[in-house]
Amino acid sequence: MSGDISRGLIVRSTGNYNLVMSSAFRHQASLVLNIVLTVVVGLFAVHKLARASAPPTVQVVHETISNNITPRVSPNAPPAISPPASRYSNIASAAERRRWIIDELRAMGVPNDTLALVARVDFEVTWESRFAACGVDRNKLAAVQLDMDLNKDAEMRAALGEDGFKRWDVKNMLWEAMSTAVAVTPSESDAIYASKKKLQQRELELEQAKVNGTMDDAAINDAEDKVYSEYNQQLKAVLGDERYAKSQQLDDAFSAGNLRYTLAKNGVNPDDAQFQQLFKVEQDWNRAQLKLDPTSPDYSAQLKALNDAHDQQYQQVLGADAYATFQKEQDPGYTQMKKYETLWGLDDTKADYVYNTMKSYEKSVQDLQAGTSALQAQGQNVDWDGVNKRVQQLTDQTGQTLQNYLGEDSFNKLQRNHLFLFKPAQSPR
Amino acid sequence: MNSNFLRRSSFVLNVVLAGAAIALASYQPQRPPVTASVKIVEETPAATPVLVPQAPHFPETASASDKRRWLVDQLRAMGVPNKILARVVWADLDKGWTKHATEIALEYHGDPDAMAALQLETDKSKDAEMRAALGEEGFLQWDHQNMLREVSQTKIELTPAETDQAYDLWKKRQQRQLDLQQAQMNATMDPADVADATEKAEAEYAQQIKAMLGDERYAKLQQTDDASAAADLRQNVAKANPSDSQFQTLLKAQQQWNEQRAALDQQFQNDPTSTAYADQIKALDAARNQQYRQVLGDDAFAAMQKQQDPGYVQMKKYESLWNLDDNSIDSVYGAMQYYQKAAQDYQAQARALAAGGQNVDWDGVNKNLQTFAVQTEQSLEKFLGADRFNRMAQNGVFQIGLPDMTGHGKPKQ
Repeated sequence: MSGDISRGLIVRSTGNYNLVMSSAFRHQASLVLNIVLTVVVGLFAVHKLARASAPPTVQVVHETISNNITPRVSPNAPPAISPPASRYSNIASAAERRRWIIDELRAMGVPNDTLALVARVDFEVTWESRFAACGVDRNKLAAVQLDMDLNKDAEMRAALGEDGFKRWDVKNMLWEAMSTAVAVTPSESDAIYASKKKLQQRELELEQAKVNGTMDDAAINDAEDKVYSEYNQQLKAVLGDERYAKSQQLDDAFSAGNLRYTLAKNGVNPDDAQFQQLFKVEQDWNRAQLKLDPTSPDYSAQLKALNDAHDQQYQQVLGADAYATFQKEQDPGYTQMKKYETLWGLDDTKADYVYNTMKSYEKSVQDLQAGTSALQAQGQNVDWDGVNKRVQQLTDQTGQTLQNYLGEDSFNKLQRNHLFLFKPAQSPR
Repeated sequence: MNSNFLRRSSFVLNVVLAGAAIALASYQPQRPPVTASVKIVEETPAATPVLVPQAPHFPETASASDKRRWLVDQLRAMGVPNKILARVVWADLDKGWTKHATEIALEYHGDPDAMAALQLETDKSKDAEMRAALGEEGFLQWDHQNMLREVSQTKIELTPAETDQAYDLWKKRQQRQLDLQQAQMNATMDPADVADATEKAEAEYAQQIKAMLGDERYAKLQQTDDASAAADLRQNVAKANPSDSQFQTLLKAQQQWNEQRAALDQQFQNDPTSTAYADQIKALDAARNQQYRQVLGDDAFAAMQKQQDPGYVQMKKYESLWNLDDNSIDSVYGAMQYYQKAAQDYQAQARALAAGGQNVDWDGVNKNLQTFAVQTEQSLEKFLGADRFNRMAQNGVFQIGLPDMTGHGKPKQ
């Protein structure tokens, strides 16, 4: 720097002269300051106005997701996970928290079923601590379970709203009501829903009575039978016999399908006429079984008579060979031998031999015991110890025969897998 | 203009310019909102830029797996804990499995083989499905909790290193179970071999856990430690209110019983229906009860026995419903105790005779037992009246009627 200004300053700093600057110098300095300030104001004005009027820009932000659990990129994944993260834990009330989640998800177009699933899980989790506090005390666990069941509808309604709750609940109730779905009109759906909710309410009342000890177990069982019977009647009245049978898988088509599958699986492929006959045998047999009284002293004998008649009719329809194949294929021991044939060193001939030997043994034991019982029934004195010894002999002989035929290794493998169900000797009542 | 005016003008201008400069420096122009900002998520290099303000929308056409993943991402972004996310995923998977199982059951008419194959397929897919939905870290967090619940049962604390080790062992055992099930299904192993291999795998797993925890903590885990045994016993004898020294004597008796019972179970593991097994258990129980009786005294022991009897507990619970009082409850309980003991003694005598080589008329034995049961029922009915008797009988209070005995002294099958 040079010239008058510096000179003037030097004059001031030296101190031997008057410290006041000359009038000319102050004027020059003011002019210079005018220029400097004008430039500064101009620059500020240009910069600020330019920013204010700038068009919107796209900002590119390189961001690394940092969270405890790293989310993956998925369809429509939320771009930023941090902003609302604290919201869930900040809402103290479980119901409000649930409602908030559901509202957020609903706004994203999540279907009602999925919303209900989230709400149900969240609701159940809130009960976990109460269940845990019960330990292994069954009474306490039953009480908490009941409390949870009693609260469920209200909590789900609060989370989903009336409309969402109703849609979810109707779907659930109808699914529970029908093992096979049948088409229903809206009014039928309403009627089934009403019956199912009534049933549900009554079940809760009975559970309450059980927990409180105001009804005993036998009374509760009776009441449950009554409630279910009424409910089934209502369902039948709404759907009519045909649709009711189909919805409960009690219709002929369902039973016929089952029979056809069982026959085919066990190596029997009857023609249409044979199948119709077998189907009738099966239906008659089922009806007859339902008429038996399991508490009757003759129940076992009656059931045996029914089973024998059923088998006899099958044999007549299919013929002896096809029926024998059917019986063999249904035998658990034979099925096991076929499945593990290679592991056990068997082939078809050996499997057939073992099967036939065991059948022959079983028949001999049954005949022996039946004959002895008949003698006893006629009032004859029976030597049961002798009978038991004979059964033991048959068992030993059969075991030996099989071991000789199969060889020790194969025999042991079958024995380890309980293929030889030898009957224990015993006296009938 | 004179120079004085010029000087003043310059001064005023300086003041104005300085004010303008300060005002402009502090001025913040109002910016229009940025309509789009692009975030490039660096976690996945292939990720495409996503527009921030655009709300995510449920991917209706995506696969079930992608929908689950999407849902987890939304819920996680809301701050929902991993534990609940896992439960949501599990519930959704379970819903799918149930639906699929229903379809398979209909298609294969409930064929047990088809259902077993489906079950195995489902079990094998569980981890992969959960991992796909929760991500690796979320899955491991959830699965570690499953392991801890099963292994430690909140009874012992595991260090982080132990937790990792236990998790590895637990997963290996889980995988082995699946492999064995698959082998049986494919018929590459038969059921007996699978049972042996399962037993071996379980024993190895138990040994490894034991080696990791040490004897003391392992015993605590199995509740076979002294503290657990004492806690159980204290709960059982609470009504008898024993003194400290009485309790220690009872604890010793109970521990002896535990050891002898375990040895007996091991001895008869292949013949659990054996008469000798039943007789030895009975003898063991009787010896322990005798020790209890000596320690507690007859009255306290009898009271404790009564409180543990299911019939007595039931009568006390439904006392009002069944119009009972303490006296009638005690009478019924006494009659039932007498019946049980007399019938068991009679059976034991018959078995002893048979064991001694004598010919026993088992039909006669069974008839006598039936007659005794009928007599007991009749006396109870007379005491209680038909209405109360029937009601209590319907509720299974009267355990009357023993199984018929056979020539081998075993109940009929």
